Amino acid sequence: MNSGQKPADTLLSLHYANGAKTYEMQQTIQPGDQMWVNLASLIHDRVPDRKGTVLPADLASGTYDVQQLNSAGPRGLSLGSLAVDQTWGYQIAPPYDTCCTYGSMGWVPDSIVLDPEGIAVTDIDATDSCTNGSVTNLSSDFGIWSSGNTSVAVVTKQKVQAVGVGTTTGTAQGGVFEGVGGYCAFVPEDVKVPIAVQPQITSFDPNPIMIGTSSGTLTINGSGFGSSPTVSLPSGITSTGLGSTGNQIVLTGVSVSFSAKIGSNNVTVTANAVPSAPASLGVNGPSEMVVQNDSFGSCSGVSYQCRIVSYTVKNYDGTLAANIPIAENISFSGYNCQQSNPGNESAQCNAQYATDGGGNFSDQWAMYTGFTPAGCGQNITDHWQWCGPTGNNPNPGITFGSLIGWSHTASVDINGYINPGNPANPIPAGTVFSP
Amino acid sequence: MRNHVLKILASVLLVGLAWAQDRGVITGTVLDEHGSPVVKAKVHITEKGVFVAHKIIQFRETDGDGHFRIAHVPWGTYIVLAGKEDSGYADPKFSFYSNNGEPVVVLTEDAPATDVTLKLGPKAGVLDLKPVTDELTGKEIRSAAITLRRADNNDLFITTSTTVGRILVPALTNVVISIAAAGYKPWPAPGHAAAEGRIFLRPEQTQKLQVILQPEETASPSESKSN
Repeated sequence: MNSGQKPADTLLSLHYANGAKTYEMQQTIQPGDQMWVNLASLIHDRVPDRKGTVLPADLASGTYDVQQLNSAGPRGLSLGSLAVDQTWGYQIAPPYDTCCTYGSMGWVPDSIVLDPEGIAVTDIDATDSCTNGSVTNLSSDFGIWSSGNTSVAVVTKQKVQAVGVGTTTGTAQGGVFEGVGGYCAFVPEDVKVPIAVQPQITSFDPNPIMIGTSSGTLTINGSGFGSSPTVSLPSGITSTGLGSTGNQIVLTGVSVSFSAKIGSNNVTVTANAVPSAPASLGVNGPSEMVVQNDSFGSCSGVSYQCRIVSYTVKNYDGTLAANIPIAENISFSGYNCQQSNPGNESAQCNAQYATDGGGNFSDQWAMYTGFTPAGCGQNITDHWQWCGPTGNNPNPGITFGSLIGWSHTASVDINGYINPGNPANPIPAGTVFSP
Repeated sequence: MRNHVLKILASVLLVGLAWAQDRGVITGTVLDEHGSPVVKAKVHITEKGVFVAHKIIQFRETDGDGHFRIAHVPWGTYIVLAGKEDSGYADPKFSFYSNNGEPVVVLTEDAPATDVTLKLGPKAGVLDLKPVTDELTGKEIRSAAITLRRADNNDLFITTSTTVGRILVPALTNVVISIAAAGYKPWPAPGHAAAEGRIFLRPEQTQKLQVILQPEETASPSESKSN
């Protein structure tokens, strides 16, 4: 401490390695101030002295002296010895060859979602400064593994096992040695992870369910449903009753309206405020048209040429949509020719048209030479529809295939396939058109 | 109230009568070349000489006795067409197959119903197509189109996307085949069609055909194998 009236230029010399080496710090101490030196920081941060000397990382003890450089009389000298605290406040550890620092320490996975019978194998990982930040497994440094609610999940070393539907937190407690050089400190860690045990849907019966179903039954099989789950059904599907055994839900009074989406639909079950993962419930019905043949030539009974495309209609489950009433909702636009529309042959749902026993139907386009001037024509948007079991409900029908193209003097374009052409570009057999 | 109900009933009857008055029915039987009824033959009609820009072809299937019935047909003159392709009787919707020889029926107010007998046969020959492939890559050319044309009448032809599998060919008829795809030289090469692409098949005779097309930028002609 400078107890005088003037600033004191002070030289602190640290002697180590049995006095063979010296580390010197020069500092001006104001009257009333004292010199504070954090030796641990000087070592840890590798701070050079006024001659560029750096204290070794493994320095543990030494001596010092302090001299006042600007004293008029004899220079004051204080002597003493020192011991360096290498722990930076933590429990001291034996010396290691190398110490590393860790970052982004956490559970892997960082969120655990389990089915009611599920088991997750976990780790505690961190990035390691000694390996350029690569991820290292520190699980062995954690000795205490616990669950916040053992009625939801049991947590043991590197393992989380579901018990019942709900949410909780998993905790791993332990510590790692961190430091610089060969000196490390034991740093306690307390790492947490959110755990959710959710109900699980394994199957539906029936699946797919037929569009138009009324007052039907839908069984949902799985686990973790509890006694009072709620079921989230897709748009267009409703039910009036629900019973649950924990592993099976039976929905009664199930209706699938024609507004439901044909194809895959998501269903979830929620129990104890935890939703299941979405499960796919198929709604069956005509969903696509597959080209069987696309031909062009002179049509029988008339003097013009025509293009006839034959399709097979398939249901979502892959079966043939045999003998189903169909309609064609067609519209024309961009009609820039001089004469009237040559024919809007739109077929509504009037029970007049149907696929045959193999799910097939054919669509005929005439080569309309009456378009003037030559080359003009009309754009076409063509939706093929199913009219429901009765042939007129719903009306308009449910689209199972859409075509876009144009009709010109000598060609018809269907979804980019122009026929006739030079060369012809008919639609390859097997091509699928869907809504 | 009673009057109201009667009016509605009367309206319904009038609508029904009006609908019935301008529509008739076509019935008939489909027989094979031996005079036996053809079950599950596909029958459809097309109005003779009338331009229809676009239509759905509505098929009716024959029953176990080869009979069919097409009702609610507006007055007019119709060609009646029948085929059963899986039995070798081509659907004559294209005149390439019918040769414009199909029966014609007339429905009028005075003759609202008519019965017709359609005789199928002889059975067609079969062109058994192997996939059309690229000469360089060996890969199938799915965009290829095949044209079959009667040698004695250029107007009777079909161009079809069916380039794999069975295509029915009118039997006992000279037919010229050509195959084309965008980006490839056609087969047969121009000038060679008379020799390479001509077939004449007996009923139910099968002719296999495999065509390899050559990209347009290369030099040598396309090839075919047939047996």
